[in-house]
Amino acid sequence: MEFISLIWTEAVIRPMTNSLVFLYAVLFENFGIAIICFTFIIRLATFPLTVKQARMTKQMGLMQPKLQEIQKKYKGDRQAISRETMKLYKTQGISPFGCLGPFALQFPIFIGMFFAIRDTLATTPEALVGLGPKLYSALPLVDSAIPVSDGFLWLNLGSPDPSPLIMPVLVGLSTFVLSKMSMASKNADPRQASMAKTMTFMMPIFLAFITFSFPSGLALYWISSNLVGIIIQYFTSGWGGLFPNKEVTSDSKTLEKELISDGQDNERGNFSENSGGGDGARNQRAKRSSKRGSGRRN
Amino acid sequence: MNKLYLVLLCSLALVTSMACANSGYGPQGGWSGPTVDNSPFGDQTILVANQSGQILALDGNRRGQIKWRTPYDEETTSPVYSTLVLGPNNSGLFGTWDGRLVAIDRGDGTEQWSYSLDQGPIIGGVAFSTNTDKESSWKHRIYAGSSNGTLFALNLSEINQPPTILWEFQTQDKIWATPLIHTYPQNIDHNILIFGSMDHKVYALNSDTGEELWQFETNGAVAGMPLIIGDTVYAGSFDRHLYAIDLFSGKKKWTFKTDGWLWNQFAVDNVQSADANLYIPSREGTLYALDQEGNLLWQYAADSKVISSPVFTHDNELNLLSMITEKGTLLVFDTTKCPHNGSSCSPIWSYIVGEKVQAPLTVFDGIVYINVMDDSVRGVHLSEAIELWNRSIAKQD
Repeated sequence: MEFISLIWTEAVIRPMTNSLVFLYAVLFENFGIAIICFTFIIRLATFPLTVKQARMTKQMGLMQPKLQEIQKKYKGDRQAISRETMKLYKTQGISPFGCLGPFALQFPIFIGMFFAIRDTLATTPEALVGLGPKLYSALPLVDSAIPVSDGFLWLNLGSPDPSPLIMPVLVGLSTFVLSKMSMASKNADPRQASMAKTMTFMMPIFLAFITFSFPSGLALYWISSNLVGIIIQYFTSGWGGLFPNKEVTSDSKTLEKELISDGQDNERGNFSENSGGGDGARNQRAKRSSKRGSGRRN
Repeated sequence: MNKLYLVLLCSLALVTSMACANSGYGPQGGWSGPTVDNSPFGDQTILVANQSGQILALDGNRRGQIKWRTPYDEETTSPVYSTLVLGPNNSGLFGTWDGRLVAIDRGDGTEQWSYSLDQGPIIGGVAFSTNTDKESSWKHRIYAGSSNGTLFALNLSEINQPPTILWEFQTQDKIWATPLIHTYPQNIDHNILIFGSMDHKVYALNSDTGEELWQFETNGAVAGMPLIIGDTVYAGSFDRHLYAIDLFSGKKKWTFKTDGWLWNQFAVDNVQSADANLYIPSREGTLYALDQEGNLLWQYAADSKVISSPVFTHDNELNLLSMITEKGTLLVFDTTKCPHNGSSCSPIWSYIVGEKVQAPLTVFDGIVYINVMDDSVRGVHLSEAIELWNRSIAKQD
């Protein structure tokens, strides 16, 4: 346990704390700007993963008719459903756990930010005592930047928003928008669609609620991170579930075409006969292609 | 995808509970050092604050037996970081986390007065001076800094009445350092008040008027109490340097680089002597012994950081320097046996308290008193190297 604590401190907390203090020192001694800038750097560093996740989410959405087809075809045979689903993922180059990456990475960062902000602002003598050994003596400017001033706009970044609604509302709203955009515009499974919808509302409410008691510096990080996420999401997969009718980016069209074309290839190899239609135009196309595949075989 | 959201939700719930369990934004209990009252009335009474902000009087002649304690009230009792100062009218003066200056009667602990400054926590100690000139208009003065960056000078004229503000001096950041009064130096008709601020500066003020005499800028926060030997002010900074500053001009004489922040109060072996040496502990746990020219005499690297301030005492013809690490190892050096060539000096003995220690040490009559974070006070005999007593000072209503 001590070893894990050491790794956590040395690999996450100390680098984050030093980065925040350094950014504070070079960015006009403004901790709010330091947090925003730090968020951009983190988002930049995780950009490839975020894009990959956004594309996978999109692809998964487009694959829904196919997945539904498999479920119907092998109804009652869980092993077969699992096998065929994995085959489909493989042919599309999707790892079902691939989209976990950015989420898995975001949480250590989020938790690390909580501790880094708390350590950096060091409002009590005990906290300031703890901060000294965490700073890299070789890193210029960090020692002279202490103590870090916690004022930013109307906020005291070490305490909850005094307004007290602005930050919770912004956190909730930005999380809602990003969650909506990250959702597939059409989900073939009504049960999954219902769950996703519930989560899309629950998560922003939950985050907004905890923002009431969290330091506003953490809320600032969350809002900045969401805004960058929204921009990335828009340019990689459009508005997603936020404005389903406007989901017409060239990127998504290309993906859809690729999927249909891949689906045709798969059916030639894997499906001996058409097992029934899905919803919408995509399923109609899938049906037609499936028939064509059977015909050739016969 | 829904599973991912569930993971997200659970993780955030975990963060929330962590935040609630260990918010870390409030004070944890203070680190007031023991004060020995050896006045005829006090008779070796040890005054100390516990982790809850109660002040206790322990009988130094009876193995620390508790004489009295101030009452505890969850709403009004606030942590105490400053070490008590023996004030006029048999009072003990201290500042509190909630920004009050308080005077208690050293005889029974009753509150003589309480005065709110500016709501900023008072971390540093209180400086107190008495005017011996009977014809003067003032008798007692108190100086204290607040976390809002103001240094206050207060007049104390009436017994059992709160003081009145004489002047205020505003700095750009928190004042956590205890101010130091230098009395009537060389033909100057006023005292000099020296203190550091988190705004990186050391200030010298006319203690009568609050007029700034000089300011000296370092590259880091100045949170420790300065020290004056002769006409030199010694001040440590978070930029890891010790600065020697001319008392009258405020010009730099020399600097000495250390391995960590300098916050702790320094020890000196004989402040009246021309060849007095300084003992400077860094927060990283290295103790530096320097002469007045900034030459390194010897050093010692402890195995953990040092939050407490060291103390020096002459005992049975030994020159003993005591320092305690945060992990609770008391180290005692005989400075006469240490080299003067900059190499390492080993302690003559050490004693493991075994609990965290952050409060400054106090030494009196060959006994070092330690306020330990487990809410106990220990009395350790320096020449015999034994713990004489261990008294719990934990909170009681």
